[in-house]
Amino acid sequence: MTSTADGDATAGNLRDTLLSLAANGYASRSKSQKGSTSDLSIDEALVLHSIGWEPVELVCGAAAFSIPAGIWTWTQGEVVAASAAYAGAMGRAAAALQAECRAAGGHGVVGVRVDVTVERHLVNAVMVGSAVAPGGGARPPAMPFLSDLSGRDFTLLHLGGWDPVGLAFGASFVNAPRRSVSAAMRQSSQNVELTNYTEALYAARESAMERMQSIAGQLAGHGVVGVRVSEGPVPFARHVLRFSAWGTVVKASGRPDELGPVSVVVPLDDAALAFDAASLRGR
Amino acid sequence: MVHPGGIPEPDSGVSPDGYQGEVPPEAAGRLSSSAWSSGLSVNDFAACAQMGIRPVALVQGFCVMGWSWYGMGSPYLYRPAYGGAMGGAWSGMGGFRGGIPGTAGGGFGAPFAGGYQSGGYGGQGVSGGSYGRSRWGSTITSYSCPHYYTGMDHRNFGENFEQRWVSDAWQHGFDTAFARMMEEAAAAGAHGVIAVVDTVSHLIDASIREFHVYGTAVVVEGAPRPPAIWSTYLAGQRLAKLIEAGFMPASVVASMASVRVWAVCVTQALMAGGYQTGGWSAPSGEITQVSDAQMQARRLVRDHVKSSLGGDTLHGAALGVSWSDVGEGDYQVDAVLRGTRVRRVRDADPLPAPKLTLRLS
Repeated sequence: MTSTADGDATAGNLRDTLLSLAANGYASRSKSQKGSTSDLSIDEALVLHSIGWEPVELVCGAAAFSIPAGIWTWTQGEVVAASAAYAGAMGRAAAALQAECRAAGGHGVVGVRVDVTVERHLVNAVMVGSAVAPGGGARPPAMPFLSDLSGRDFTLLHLGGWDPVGLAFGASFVNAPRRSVSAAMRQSSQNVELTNYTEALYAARESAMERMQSIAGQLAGHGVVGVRVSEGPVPFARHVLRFSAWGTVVKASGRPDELGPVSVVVPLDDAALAFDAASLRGR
Repeated sequence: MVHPGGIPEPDSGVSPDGYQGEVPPEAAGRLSSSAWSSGLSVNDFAACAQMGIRPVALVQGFCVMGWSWYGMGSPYLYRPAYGGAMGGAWSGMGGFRGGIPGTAGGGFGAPFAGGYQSGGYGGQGVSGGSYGRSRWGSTITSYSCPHYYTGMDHRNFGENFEQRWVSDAWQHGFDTAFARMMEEAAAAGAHGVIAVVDTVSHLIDASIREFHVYGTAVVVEGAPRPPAIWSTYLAGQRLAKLIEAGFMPASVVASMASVRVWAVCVTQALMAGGYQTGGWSAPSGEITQVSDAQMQARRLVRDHVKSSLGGDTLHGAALGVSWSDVGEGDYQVDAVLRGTRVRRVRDADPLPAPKLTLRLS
């Protein structure tokens, strides 16, 4: 999506603008006496402004949950208490973020950065983003939306007739099954698949994705966009594999698609990338 | 000395109003040199030149602060709330549970060392009551033990405490370095300072903290000197877009908040695996006191910045938070918020509706 301002934005005019502002002592024309805060870049603020939305407040939600002692020993199946603590921390953090947004008079939060740390006895989930609202002072909804998409993505979705509804997340911690002695001996010094780890990853992924999609369903969304997935061993218990996923739940708003026809641009100045798989992980 | 058109002479070395502040003589000499310096990238420099913004000098300020929080002999040990809780520790009931924190910034004492009943400590501490709370901080939330039993090492009471001596020291360090940079800018006859960079780092060891703020002092060619020198983290095209959108930077803003968790028994148990809560919290349960602290540190720093904004806007905020487990369930959360305070100076022309393009790259 690109947007260019008209002739007013040319550098020469900007020089005149700056001069006339300076002559005026940079006097404030703010209509509000209430300051606002946001972590949006100027590009994002501008693109939101183009659809009539403005940032209201920098908001956060955080929750810490306890992980019981003794659950990281190598047993079988899912580490239920860890998965529960993770889900609890994310859920509470999202609720706290929504409450802050509501208190600030926002209609939703865009650009939510999700930061989860898992320690031996502690899951810490923190979400920070900018609460936004449409101009005109419409009444904020009882349940503001949450989205980890940027202001730009929000604008694109909005124009395309989609609304973000909330964040969906799921995580699962699964013990890799122990190998039998004979299997371990057979596999030692062989380049073969370690099926116990593969199975554990599949189990963790299915549970995590299923949880994420179930939350999307509870939020009455039509789907989840921008899903970020991560997987790997838990650093302090490497026999446990963790899989986590989160993304923004969207639903069709019923508004007409305002995007119109897409024009194709073929830039001739950069290298062609067929598919950037790392972007799936948000990198 | 001012040009007829109102432009400060670039080589005057002294601001038009004769202000020299505390700029060292060497710096004053450098600032009065006919050649200018700048921290701008070539792109930013070109964009600024197009707007009529001309660099005059790279300006900077330093402030090095001693950074001992809970060292032996530190007045901060005798926290004033609850009549000096360290009185309990000194009275020999269990001693220091976290060990005596000799290393500044590293270890922290656990003032609630001995078991005590809240209410039994009025005025008992060494220096309790002699410091105003407003200076040292204040209790944000407090937590009571839900159990019916107590013991010598049972934490009957916990609280989340705003450590204002920490945030005040941080603010003093930053504000002083920033003011010194602005003095240099004034001495160079600047209208504004752009592309500000600030770093806060340990100098030599953990007990010394260095605040360093630098940026490029600029003048708007042909414009009169503004009522106050403005400053911003932005430069180049982002600055151009900000002005195009109807905003003018007023000032760089940075603030810090520090929240300390003095754990109540349930928090302490949950932080250690959760089986000692006496049935008061399920395993995998929420550690409310820590959740609260994480929220409070961020809210405090945001609201502190917000209280000084007036009708202005904090743009491009960067919220950095660090936390550390101090042991025994105690916890500290530090939050720093930076951004540019911007002011709406004209009604922006709305950006035209975006045009959708599909890049085949």
